[in-house]
Amino acid sequence: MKVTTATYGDAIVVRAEGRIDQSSAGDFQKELSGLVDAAVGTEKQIVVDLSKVDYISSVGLRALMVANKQAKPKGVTIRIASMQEVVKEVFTISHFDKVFPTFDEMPKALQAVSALAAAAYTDED
Amino acid sequence: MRIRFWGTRGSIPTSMNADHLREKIGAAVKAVIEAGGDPDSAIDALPFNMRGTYGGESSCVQIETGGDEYVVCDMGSGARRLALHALGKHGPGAPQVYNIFQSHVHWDHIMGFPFFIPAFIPGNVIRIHGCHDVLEMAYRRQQDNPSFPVPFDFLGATIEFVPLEPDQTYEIAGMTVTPFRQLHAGDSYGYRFEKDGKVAVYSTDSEHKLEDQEETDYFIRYFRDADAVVFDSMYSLADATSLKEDWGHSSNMVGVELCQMAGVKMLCMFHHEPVYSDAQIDQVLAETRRFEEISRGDGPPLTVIASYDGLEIDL
Repeated sequence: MKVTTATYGDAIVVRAEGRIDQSSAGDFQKELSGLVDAAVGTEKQIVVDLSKVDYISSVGLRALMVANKQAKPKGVTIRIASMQEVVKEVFTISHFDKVFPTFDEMPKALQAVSALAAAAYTDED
Repeated sequence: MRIRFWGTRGSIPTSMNADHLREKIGAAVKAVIEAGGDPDSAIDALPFNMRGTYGGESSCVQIETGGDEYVVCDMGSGARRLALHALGKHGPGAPQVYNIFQSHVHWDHIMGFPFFIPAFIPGNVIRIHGCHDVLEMAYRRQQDNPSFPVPFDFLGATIEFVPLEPDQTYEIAGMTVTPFRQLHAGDSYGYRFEKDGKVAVYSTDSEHKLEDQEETDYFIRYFRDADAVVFDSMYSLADATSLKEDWGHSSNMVGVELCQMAGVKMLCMFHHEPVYSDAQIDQVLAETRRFEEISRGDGPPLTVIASYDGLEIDL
């Protein structure tokens, strides 16, 4: 699994790639935790781009939940964008779709953060 | 080897009320009329939540191996129906030996014992096996004044408490039995039962997170190649990792993953959330089967069922 980050206006976008499972969830969690810490107090929000993630296991989902528990009390929202169909199914089965705001496309997720984030994304991509 | 489920609900017994039953009958009647043709065939074709019910008794599971002695996991409210079944089969004048294996002593796992009629009948022998040092105290306390009118010492059967150690293997009632410690407040214990090449695992009230590989490997060892694992899949993963984290129960998804890692043949979802309707449990079952397909990879298929009160499975 590979994780990269980018900033668009007041949105921090986390792009994961590959499988998020037993072997990679720990690194994914550390990455998310660091980004939540970075977002606290800055009014930045986090969007996790899962378009290149082809599978996420329960441990991977747990990593997202741990980050959400860290983020929410501090006013940071984690949004999920661009899930592949299988990952979307896993979200539904796990009921994580009831916990996280999810968006089919990245522009919509960024629009939900702010017009500034959406505009910055449009300019760059 | 046969597994008979006498109680499959988690935490507290539950039952349908008049409105729930009317809703169920209404949906079934409409579906049968729409299907037309032979009513019996149309009823058989209905989804389980319309033609049956998962029931509402708390944990009680019997393992049958063809021997003379009974083997029973937990004494939840389902134990009352087991008692009626046993008395109907043998009559009150034929003494029996009952081996109870206790996962833990939370109330929903012992509450059936005061209504377990064989305990009242002299000549019966009841051996309650478990790893908790409070086992006898918990059984006695629930029958103490003012909680129950019949004190434990009034019971006519010979009742013995048999301490077990986790990770030790025992020969009991013609079976090989190995208890293992699980993840629950105050500890709970699972049991691996083996006889004639068949393996059944009873594993309820355990919160598996699968984060710690050493811990996961411990459970894989006891689940390894089992023909069936009776597994506490009470919550959705979202609930198990948020609101209900550290409440001591697992999710359907973690059950699938653990069974896949251990090469289990059948996952029996158990300890159903008491607020779930039959239709909701059907939905969880369908989703769990789909998750098994998604997560299977190149491994063999894992059969997934949702246990219900009255279900019998031959392994």
